[in-house]
Amino acid sequence: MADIRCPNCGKENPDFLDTCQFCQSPLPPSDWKIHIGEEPTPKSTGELEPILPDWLKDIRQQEMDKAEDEILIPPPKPKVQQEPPDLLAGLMSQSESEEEELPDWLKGIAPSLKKEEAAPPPAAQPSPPPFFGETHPSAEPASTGAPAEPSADKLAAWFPENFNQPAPQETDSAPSDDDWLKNLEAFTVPEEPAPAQPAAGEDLSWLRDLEAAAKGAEEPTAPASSEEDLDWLNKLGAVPQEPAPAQPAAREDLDWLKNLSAVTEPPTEPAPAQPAAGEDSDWLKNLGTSEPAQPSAPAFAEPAETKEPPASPKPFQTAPLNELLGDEALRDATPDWLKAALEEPKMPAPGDLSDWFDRQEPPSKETLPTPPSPGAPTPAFDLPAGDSSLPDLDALFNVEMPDWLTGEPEKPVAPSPETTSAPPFAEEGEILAPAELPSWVQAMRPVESAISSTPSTADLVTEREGPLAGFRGVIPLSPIGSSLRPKPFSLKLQASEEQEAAAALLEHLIESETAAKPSQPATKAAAQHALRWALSALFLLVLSAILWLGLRVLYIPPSSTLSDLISALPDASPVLIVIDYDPAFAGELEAAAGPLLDQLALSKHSIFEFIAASPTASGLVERLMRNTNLSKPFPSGLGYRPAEHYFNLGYLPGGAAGAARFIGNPQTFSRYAAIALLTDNVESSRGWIEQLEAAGPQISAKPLIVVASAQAAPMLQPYAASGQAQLVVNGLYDAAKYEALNVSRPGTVRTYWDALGFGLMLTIVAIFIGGVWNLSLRLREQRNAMK
Amino acid sequence: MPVVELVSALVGFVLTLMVFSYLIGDNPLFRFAVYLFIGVASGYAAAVIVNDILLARLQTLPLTDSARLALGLIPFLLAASLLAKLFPRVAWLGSFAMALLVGVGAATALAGAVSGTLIPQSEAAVNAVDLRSLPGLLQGSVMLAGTIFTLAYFQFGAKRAADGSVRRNALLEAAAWAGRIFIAVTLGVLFAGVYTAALTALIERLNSLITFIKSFLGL
Amino acid sequence: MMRVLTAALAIASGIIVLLGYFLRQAFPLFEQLRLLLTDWAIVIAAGAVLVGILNLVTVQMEKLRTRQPGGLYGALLVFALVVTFGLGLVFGTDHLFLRTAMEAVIVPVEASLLAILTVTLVYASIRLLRRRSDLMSILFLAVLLLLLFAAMPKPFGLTPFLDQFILGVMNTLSTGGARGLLIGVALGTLLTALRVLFGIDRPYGGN
Repeated sequence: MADIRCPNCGKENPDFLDTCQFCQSPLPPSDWKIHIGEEPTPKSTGELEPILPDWLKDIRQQEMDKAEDEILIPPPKPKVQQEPPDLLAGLMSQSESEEEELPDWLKGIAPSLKKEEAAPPPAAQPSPPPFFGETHPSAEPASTGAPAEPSADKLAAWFPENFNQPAPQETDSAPSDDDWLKNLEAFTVPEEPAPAQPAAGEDLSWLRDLEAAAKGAEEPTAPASSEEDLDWLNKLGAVPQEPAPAQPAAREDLDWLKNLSAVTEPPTEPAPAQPAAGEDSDWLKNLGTSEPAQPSAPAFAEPAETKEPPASPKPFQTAPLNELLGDEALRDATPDWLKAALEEPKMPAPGDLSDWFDRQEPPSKETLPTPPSPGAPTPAFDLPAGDSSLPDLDALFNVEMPDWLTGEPEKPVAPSPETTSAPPFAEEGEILAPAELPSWVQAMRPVESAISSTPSTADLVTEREGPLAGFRGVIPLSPIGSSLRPKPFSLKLQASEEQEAAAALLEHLIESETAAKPSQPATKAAAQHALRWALSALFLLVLSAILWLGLRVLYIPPSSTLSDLISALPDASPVLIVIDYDPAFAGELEAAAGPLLDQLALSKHSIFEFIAASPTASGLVERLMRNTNLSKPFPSGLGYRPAEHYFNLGYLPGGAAGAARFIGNPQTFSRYAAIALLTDNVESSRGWIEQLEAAGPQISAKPLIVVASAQAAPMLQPYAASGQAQLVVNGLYDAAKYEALNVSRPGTVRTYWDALGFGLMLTIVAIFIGGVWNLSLRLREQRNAMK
Repeated sequence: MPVVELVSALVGFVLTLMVFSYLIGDNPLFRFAVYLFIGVASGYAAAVIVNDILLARLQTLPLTDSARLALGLIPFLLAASLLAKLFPRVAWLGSFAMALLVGVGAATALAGAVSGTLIPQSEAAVNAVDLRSLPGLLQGSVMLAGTIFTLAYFQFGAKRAADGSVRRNALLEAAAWAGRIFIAVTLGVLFAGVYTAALTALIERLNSLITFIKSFLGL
Repeated sequence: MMRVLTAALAIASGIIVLLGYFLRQAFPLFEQLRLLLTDWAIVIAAGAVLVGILNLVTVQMEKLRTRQPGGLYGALLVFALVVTFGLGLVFGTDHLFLRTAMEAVIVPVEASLLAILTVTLVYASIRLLRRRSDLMSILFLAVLLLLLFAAMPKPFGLTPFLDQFILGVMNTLSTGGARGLLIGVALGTLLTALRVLFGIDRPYGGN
């Protein structure tokens, strides 16, 4: 049986469970890995590079630019290996030995920077790769063949399997300026449960808002924040925790990346020690070479309905995914990682971006972010000093990104004079000339005021690994992927207040009975031993003396009704005798049953049929017959012989079921004139009485005589009071009367009677004196305690 | 006295003393007697079951009637499957036999409890109130009250008061308190019965010891 | 699947037995089936006792094999068990050997164990008020002393009327309480059986 690792708590669950047995989160289907791309999902972060939205690329470019400026003044470099697991991978694909100072994505980029330097800058504004637009296959079936992208067919065949549900169209309200955003919306994240990808300008704001909300209880230092970030990220969707072999993953990535576009340049072989690097570089190379074929700026100016190419019919997808939230079937069919993307967006749909931006009001002073503390300036990029590849990075991103995207989209925070001279984005913004911005970008300028409500960059967490490495505050601390996650279901018993009160009452009663008492001191223990020895000696001596002497001085109270029942029985009729007592009670029950059996044998010549309710009880029949003098020959006994005057039917297993079976045979049972139950056990005797009653009126009408041990008789008394048992002989006390009435036959009770009397006297005296003494001690202790 | 009886009495005498030595304290003699007793009792029970139940019933199976033979063998196969319970890997094999045993036992107990205790005892509790005589009325009422109050004592439905304390309904609380009285009396009576039974066993054992000594001494 | 099958078997057998109880007059077939199933249950119960004894042997042998404390006592137990069982199997349970085992070992030891309970109970009664001195404890001890006094054999019947009065009162009170306990036990039995028959409780290992 395969196990499924819970995406929420990371614990293993059987594959037949739909929800995690530990945290009740929905589990991904057991074959979810197969659904994604029909092949094992690479576990490295490099594969996620291509799916980065442009706004991230934009930010990265800006941060790269800033890092380039900061090379001469290297920032403090936190140890990468001290970071929690990588964000996007979450897969632990990087071994612990990979202790590099460069972020993963940067390391991957580094080897290819020289090559990318020679790449010509894009002639047109970049757009996402066409395959991103094909991630809604059912919405636009024709999109599987992107005319501008020769390799899009393969991608179309790959991605539709991930998105089998139609994405709702949303183009009506989109102005023409948002067309590029719609094209970007077609970009979906196949693996990463990242937030719904918005347009570049707004992402920073909402991400920072989220982080600012989570920053409240956080230390401002980046590592601690990163740990928390990664902690929740580890709980995201379909990101397995087990580290995957880095090298095969990289190769797989390269394979599918090679198919993404008509890239003639062979992929760079990843370095063995840097599996993610190879894939990153390949991806970047592919992007660089394929971008000229992408629809460029004029496409943005056209209406969405007419200008959208078939390969990228859907705009940037936050809003469609949001609409899918209400579709339960889709939600069920959606992999967990996509569910994270399906969650409630923290920002308006991209299709409504312009409207949303228009609605943004300038932030009030209360909502202004706290300026970053001077002591904790967190660089946007955590790049090592002296990295020679940094200038190349700039060139690389300049190649891929249009000029307007390489600039600053907006200023996320208010500049603080105490931190760096200016926030990184603001600093980069100065580089951009307003004339370079398209008109629609200029129209987005009011967003600055809205974004200014985001927290200070110093409070934001700087990512150090993965494709987001170097970015600050791009990852919210808590909300992504959490709204769709089912609320933790408490395993605690859901009980009403009334039930809890009842349970508390019962618990209190039990506690009072079972509360542990402190151990006694040695002196007290010795005193208790002495008391026990004294009692033992007293009883043994007194009782032995009485029995040795054979005293018969105690009076037996008379009785006149005990034998009336017996006299009504027919002569020589069989009587069933149930031996339902243990050998321990043989002495008492033999004495108690002696007068009854003697009267039955002597006056009615009854035939006894014994049946035992326990295995050892079957061996007590002979002893009973002998000790009651029934089987002894004349003149000391009545001369009852086995298989002639009495029969031992043996052991009847099954308890009440056995009794029911035995009683249920009418041919055999109806011939008994009476049933005598010799018992020391309330439960088993109750079973016999109940089954006799349940067998019907014919059976229950038979006389039932219960000869009970003194320990069972009080509980059987109600059956005698109700008439279900016609006679109950209560131990030696009733047997003594019976025997006295039966002309002292067989005499066993009389032998015990005086010893019983004196023993009870001793008991009464001992308990009374000891009880009073202990009660006085207890009261004295309580008085002392009160004093 | 025959040799067998003499040996039997002697062994019984010694073992009784061994067990009585526990009154001084736990000791190897006591443990020896107890372990020997458990072994002999278990062996005795096993012999009774095999001889008197299993083999005896197997001998009654109709060998000529294959249908009845197959039907008669079913319980033996089920009983044999219980041996699988000793081995965790195949313990599931014994679940069928246990299921049948539990199902039959539960239904038997249910039918017995309803027709043998619930209905008759409820009727008896009401019928005990004899309106024709004062003693009968008094006695029956007390018994009926004792029954009701005892049942009320085991009713643990409670609500949390405004001050956070857990309390039953006031009427139920009063009934439960009275039920405690009846239960205390009942338990006292039961304890007296248990003690009397134990004292009777002590007397019987001492009597057997004295009888053996007297016979040994020729008294 | 196993859980379903075992639950179905338990429920079906229980229902058949119930129908045999309550519809025996209208449908004698159910009565026959009830007796058949009960007969099977008897054999299975006997097998269950044997399995329990086998388990006892296994535990003691393991105790002996791993040289745990008390292992020698376990060896004594197993030896006594095997010898008794072998003799019973060979000679039958009515043979002198098993009767002697019963007379010489089982009855004396078990009765002696019950006998030494006498001292323990007296000692516990004495100590009761030291541990708990509430109303119920005092009432409990008072009832115990009164009942023992009333039931105690006395020379010449010193207090016959007092004894009868005490015994009558105690009998009335205890019968009412015992009836309540019995009805409570029956209700518990009823609910437990219903839970089994509805498949809610599966003590046969199907949970």
